Amino acid sequence: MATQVKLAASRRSGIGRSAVRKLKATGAVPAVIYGSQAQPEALQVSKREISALLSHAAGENILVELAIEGEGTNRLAMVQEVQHAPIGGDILHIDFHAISMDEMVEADVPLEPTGTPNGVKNFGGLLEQSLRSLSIECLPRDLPDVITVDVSALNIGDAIHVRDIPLPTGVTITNPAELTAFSVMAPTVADDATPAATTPSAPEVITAKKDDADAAGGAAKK
Amino acid sequence: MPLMPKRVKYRKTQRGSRKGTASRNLRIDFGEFGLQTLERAWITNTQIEAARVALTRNMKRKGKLWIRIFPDKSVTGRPPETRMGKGKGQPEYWVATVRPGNILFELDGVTESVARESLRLAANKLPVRTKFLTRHHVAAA
Repeated sequence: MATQVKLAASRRSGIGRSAVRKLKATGAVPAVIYGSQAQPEALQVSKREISALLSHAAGENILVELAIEGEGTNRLAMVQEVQHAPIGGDILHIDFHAISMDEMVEADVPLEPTGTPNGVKNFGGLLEQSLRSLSIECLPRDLPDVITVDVSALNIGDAIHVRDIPLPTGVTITNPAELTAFSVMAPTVADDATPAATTPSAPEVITAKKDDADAAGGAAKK
Repeated sequence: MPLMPKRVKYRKTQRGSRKGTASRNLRIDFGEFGLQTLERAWITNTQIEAARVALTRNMKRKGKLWIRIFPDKSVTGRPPETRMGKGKGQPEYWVATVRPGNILFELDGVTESVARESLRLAANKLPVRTKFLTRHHVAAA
């Protein structure tokens, strides 16, 4: 089940690029909290705390008890989205989705295979994972960190579809049932050779007029 | 087969801009392991092909490979000892524009040690500094 951790946050008044840049220089990360019960609020959390929280979590779905400065009670939220820098992976922004323990939530949960398929172990096939995460709906207390599927019985040509995936109690899948999650493919032989003689040396030009094309062909011959 | 478009609207392109960091094609979407560029460059079709051959040879033709970049920009050149002027030269080769953060190759179906070594060999064929990534690293980064 998804872990529930405490996190301190404070309200943020500065909005926009300049304010966020100054905020990041102080070791904080901008965040936002939104939900169906209250207006969205701009927040900031400690970069050190959120990095530790994300690196120690088993899955991507983390339930957070947000202790917002100036508020008497903690607010329960789910980490909805974490934005990372393309290089280095620094945390740029976090979305918290305010939830309540008795309301269904929607989340994407990672899907992981366990075991080595028979077709891979004995026949040299390749396990292909077409679906990396499942969209599920459940109560927050039932939210799994990860859904594991035993793929050891798969032979070459076999597949596991969404409808075949065993689910924890209280969890329903919102993905189409006929989607393929795992399949074992026959071994493929990649060709190293480059048959240069059969390939054209230049692409076809869509906008070329007939005269231009003839001229270009003539120039190429010369 | 050299990588190039099958059909194009125009044979010659302008050089364009390479500024900024990658805004798309920056996550591992298909495989388990990936090679990310840390620099901006034009990567030619022959460099991509050389990297692909190095990868598949080291993987001993096992596993699955995705090439995430495609050379869709033509580069023109002048013949040697030609005076300036007389218009733009003829297309000579094709390049893919990459910006820091772009994923170049993705692999699946091999162990991490094989993937790491294969992508190291492939990176040696490319004109950019690169970084080896795994799917879990990206998720946790």
